Amino acid sequence: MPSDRQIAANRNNAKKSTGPRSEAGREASRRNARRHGLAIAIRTDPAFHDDIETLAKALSLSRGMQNVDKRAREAAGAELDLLRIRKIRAFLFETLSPTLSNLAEVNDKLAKLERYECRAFSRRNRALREM
Amino acid sequence: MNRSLITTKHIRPPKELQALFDDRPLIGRERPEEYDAFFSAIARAEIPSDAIDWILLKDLADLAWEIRRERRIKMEIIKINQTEVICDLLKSTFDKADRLRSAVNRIFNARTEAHLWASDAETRKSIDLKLTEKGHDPESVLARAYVRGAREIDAIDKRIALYELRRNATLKQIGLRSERKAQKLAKAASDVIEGEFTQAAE
Repeated sequence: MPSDRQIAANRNNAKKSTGPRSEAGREASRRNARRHGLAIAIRTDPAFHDDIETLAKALSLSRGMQNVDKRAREAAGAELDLLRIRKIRAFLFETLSPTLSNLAEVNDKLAKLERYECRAFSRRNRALREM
Repeated sequence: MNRSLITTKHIRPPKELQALFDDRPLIGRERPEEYDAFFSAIARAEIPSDAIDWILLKDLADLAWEIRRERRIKMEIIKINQTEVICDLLKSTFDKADRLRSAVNRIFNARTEAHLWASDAETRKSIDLKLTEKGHDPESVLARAYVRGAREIDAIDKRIALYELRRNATLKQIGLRSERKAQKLAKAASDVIEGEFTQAAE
């Protein structure tokens, strides 16, 4: 546990930081959250808007609801996220071709993907239960 | 009992959900028709009645598919490691008469023999016998192969455990809608996981 003095010093030092200064640094940090796009909610991506609406409508009808509500959109978004993650996993297997030589690299990348799948899966199931 | 993957008719989702099912998460030599047969074999146990049923069923089928894929990869890893262990043992274990052969020759032959061990039943039998006489029975070779590939096998086992957890969660979700449906689908999914893939491919 850091002491109060250390915490205060850390905060002071952090205030001095202004982030990247060069154009290249600023450009790189702008893309920090977009390495694979999985950290960004699929619902904010306009490319998926129609797919989410179509699926949300079908899910709502399953529940006998005529109007599409927030929970149906949440379930639809999470389901599409899940499918996207599974496609990425297949892509990783395909491109890195898990032979003995690079299996460690494949395993490492798959482990990183896992937490996104775990989140999407929980989100989808919770939304379906609440619908 | 394994569920047959040879199907006369594939079960298709309704038009509004078709897009979700068109994009199959396949790799390498996995074929769309193979996946469709696999999916239909599970779906036939309980035909989905609405969109929620369809997406939960797809989840179940995808997870079952991935479990089988990982099991296959694990089996391949064990086979490769077994071959490597055999190769090492053949290099280090030899008869008195073999001492006359040059070391280089012996090492070269060991690799060829190890590959034959992996591909030819007769050669395998004779090499197993030869190595058993030297104190390396097939079980100890298998154990060494596991140790050699422990890291990779462990990673695969962890993934399989996660997929199984998720599959159970999906079945629970189906069970909330219909316990009978969940039981029938659970049985169908485990039948196809244990079943022969090749049936659909041939």
